[in-house]
Amino acid sequence: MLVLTRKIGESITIDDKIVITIVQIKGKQVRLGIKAPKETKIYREEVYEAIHDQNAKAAASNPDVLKEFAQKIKKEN
Amino acid sequence: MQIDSAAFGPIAVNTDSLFKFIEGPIGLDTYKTFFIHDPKDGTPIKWLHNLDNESLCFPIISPHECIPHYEPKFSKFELENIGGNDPNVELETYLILTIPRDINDMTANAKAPVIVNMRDQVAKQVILSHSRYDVCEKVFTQLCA
Repeated sequence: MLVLTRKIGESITIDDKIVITIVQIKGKQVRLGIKAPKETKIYREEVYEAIHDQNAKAAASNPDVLKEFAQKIKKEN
Repeated sequence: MQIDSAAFGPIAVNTDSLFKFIEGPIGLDTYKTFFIHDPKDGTPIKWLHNLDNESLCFPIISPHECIPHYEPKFSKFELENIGGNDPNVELETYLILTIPRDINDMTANAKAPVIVNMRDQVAKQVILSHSRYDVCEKVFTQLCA
C-alpha cells in the first residue's frame, strides 16, 4: 500500500480524475472530501463488505425452509 | 431451454425472461445472467436464479410485501445507466432476502435493492448510499401481517 502524509487542506490526485482532500482532523477521525466523475462508485468499505457478506448468506438460503412459512400463511387465510 | 436447478429441479426457462447484470450481484459478479423463478409455493417469495450455475439462486421479494412505504432514492446516473430515464421503461425493484433455518430471523437487504429493466433485459444491484435502510431489515413479522 502506498502511504502518503498530508496536511489539512492538502489533496491527493488519482488518475487525473479523482481528487481526495483532507477536510478536517478531529481526534481519531479524519474527514475526507472526494471529487470524482459521477460514474465512480464510492462507498464506506464496511457498507460494501456487509452487502457482500449478505449476498453470500442469501445465496445459501434453502427453499425447503419456506414450506413451514407457506403452511403458516395458508392457515391464516 | 431447461436448466437443472439444484434447489428446484428441472426448470423451463424462456430466453425472453433472462436478464444480464450490468453491476453486481455484489461479491458474485462473475455470474451475470439470471432469471426470476416463481416456485408458486404460496409465499410472496421468488428466486433470482443464475443461468450458468445451477446452484446459485437468491430469494427475492417485492419491497411492498415487507417494508411499508419503501422509497429508494436512485441517483440520476444510477437510473440512466439502466435505462430508467426512458419513460417507456418500467423498472422492477426487488430486495434480496436471507432466509436462515429459523424463518423468524428472515431479513431483507433494503440498502442494496436489485433493479430490473425487463424491456432491455438488464439488471443491477444498487447501493443506496444516503438511506436509512439497512442491509439486514427484519421482515418476517411484516410478511405475516
